[in-house]
Amino acid sequence: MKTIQQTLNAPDSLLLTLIKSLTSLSSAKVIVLYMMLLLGFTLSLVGQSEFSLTLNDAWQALISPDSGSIKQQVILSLRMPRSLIACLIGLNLGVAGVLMQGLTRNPLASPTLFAINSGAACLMALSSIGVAFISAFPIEVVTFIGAALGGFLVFFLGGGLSSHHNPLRLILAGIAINALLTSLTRAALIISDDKAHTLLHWLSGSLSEADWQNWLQLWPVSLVALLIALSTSRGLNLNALGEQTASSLGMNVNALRIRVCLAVLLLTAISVTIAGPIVFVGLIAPHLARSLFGNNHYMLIPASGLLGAALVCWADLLSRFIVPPAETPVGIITALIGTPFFIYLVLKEEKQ
Amino acid sequence: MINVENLTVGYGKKRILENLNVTIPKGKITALIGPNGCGKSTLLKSISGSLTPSTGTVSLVDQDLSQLNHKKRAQRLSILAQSPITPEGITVQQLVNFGRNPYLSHWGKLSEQDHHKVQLALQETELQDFANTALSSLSGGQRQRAWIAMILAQDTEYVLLDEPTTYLDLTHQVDLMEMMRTMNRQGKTIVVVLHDLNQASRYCDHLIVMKKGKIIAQDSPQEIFNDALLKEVFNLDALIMNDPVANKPMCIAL
Repeated sequence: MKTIQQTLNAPDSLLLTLIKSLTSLSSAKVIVLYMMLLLGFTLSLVGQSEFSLTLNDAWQALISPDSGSIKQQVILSLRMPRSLIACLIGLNLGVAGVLMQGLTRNPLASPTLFAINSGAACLMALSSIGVAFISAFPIEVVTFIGAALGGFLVFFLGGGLSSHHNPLRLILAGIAINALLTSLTRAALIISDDKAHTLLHWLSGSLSEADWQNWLQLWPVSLVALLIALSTSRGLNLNALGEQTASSLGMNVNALRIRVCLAVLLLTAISVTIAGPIVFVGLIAPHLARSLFGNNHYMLIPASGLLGAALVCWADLLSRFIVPPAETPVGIITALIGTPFFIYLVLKEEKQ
Repeated sequence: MINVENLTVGYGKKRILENLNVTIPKGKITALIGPNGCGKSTLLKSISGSLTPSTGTVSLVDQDLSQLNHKKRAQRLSILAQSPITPEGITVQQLVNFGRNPYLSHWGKLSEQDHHKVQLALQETELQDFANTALSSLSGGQRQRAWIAMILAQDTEYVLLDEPTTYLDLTHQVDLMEMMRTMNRQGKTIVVVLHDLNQASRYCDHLIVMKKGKIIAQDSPQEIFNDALLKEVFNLDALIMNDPVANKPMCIAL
């Protein structure tokens, strides 16, 4: 543990740090984190299926695929993309959360509070019922605009750049905008009629329909956004000293803001496009990461991403066991975990 | 030499400084003094570039600062904010490392020379033994020294200090003023916002007196310390005498 901390103390080369932080096995915490992720991933490949899948099926499907086996087909064409998507979306949301908290220096900032999730969802719902001018755009663009709309509304209503002075105002703005966007989404739902069930399922945050097509949609955008996110590590470390000091140390504060916003919006929008709003992951993962690995963003960004991945992966697994054979949307699971966590954080903030 | 020309700056619609012209001499310690809200800190922030003026220019010798990019500017001029934020869990060494940021390449790796400058800064502030201590666990005086160490590591010819003594006890105030003097002897030009007039007189070569966003006077302490000026700027009746230790003027409120 000590060696990894020492290497991270000094700002290191971005790529080198990434490789170090993702592959270093000298830290017990990192090993546990990977084990959790791997275990969740493996179990979600075979867990709770009508075909009673076993780990051996999954193993066989990987090393000697047999197109005649239904079990292997289920694993390769349904479970595999679903688990991969769960992990990557978790990663995206975990990273988006830690970037927002780093930029605003507000521990409550997250895609959910800033209505980025619900903004993307709202415009997507409006687009799916055919509101003319929105439906003309590809769905990724629609969710991106929705995410930006929600985020900026909350940001400016919540006190703009000085929001860290007044977390409660930000929370109120978040609640108000979330409520507005949610009711618009509901209206869309009522009008949609025949598509209502699919839409409703998606709106709760669901991975049950995830397929390889989604994966192909998801990974390129995520990769670009994650690279942008990693490039902000040093800037966010400096930003922790306050804008004035960061700027006097040669950081271009506005450039950092633009990069962070771009990364957050891309990460959240593409995730919402695939799986609907999976709430609170972007709040829980950064806090766990911070308490485990400290405040250095070189470490914090990958760690928060991995924790987010593990969280969504396990939540997805859990979602199949609550009322089998039906699947509870994964967003409901994360909300059940996240809400008490959020209340706990607000109370902690209030005490300070 | 810092040249401020026709500077107008404010927050939102409120103008704090209007058409301000001032020259800060090179190689000296210059104090900005004046009552609360007179625009001292605003002037300092405008010089450092963390406030963007609506009109006017700030230049170092003949180099217009707004023409330099952030990194280049930070290699020439550093500022210690009035109440900088201490990030949770940061150690002294990590903080001082930040001082090298303007010199780092895109990938952000510290070179041998960077490490050397950081060590030097820790030595000069006598913080070597605290390098791996959390900043938040230090006393106020030590913490301020750590911030000074960061500025030293930044190694700029111009250093701006915004009320660096405000939250310190007397011992640490003197300690800080001495450090400032050492920096000056090493060739740095220093601009400092101070509240204590006697400290300003004792440690600074040049005083700039401000009131309501205007420069009232600028000169050596000997010239600045007179009854009329103190009355006009601070609305203070004071007795002016010679400080027997520093051989500079000092004042006592009546």
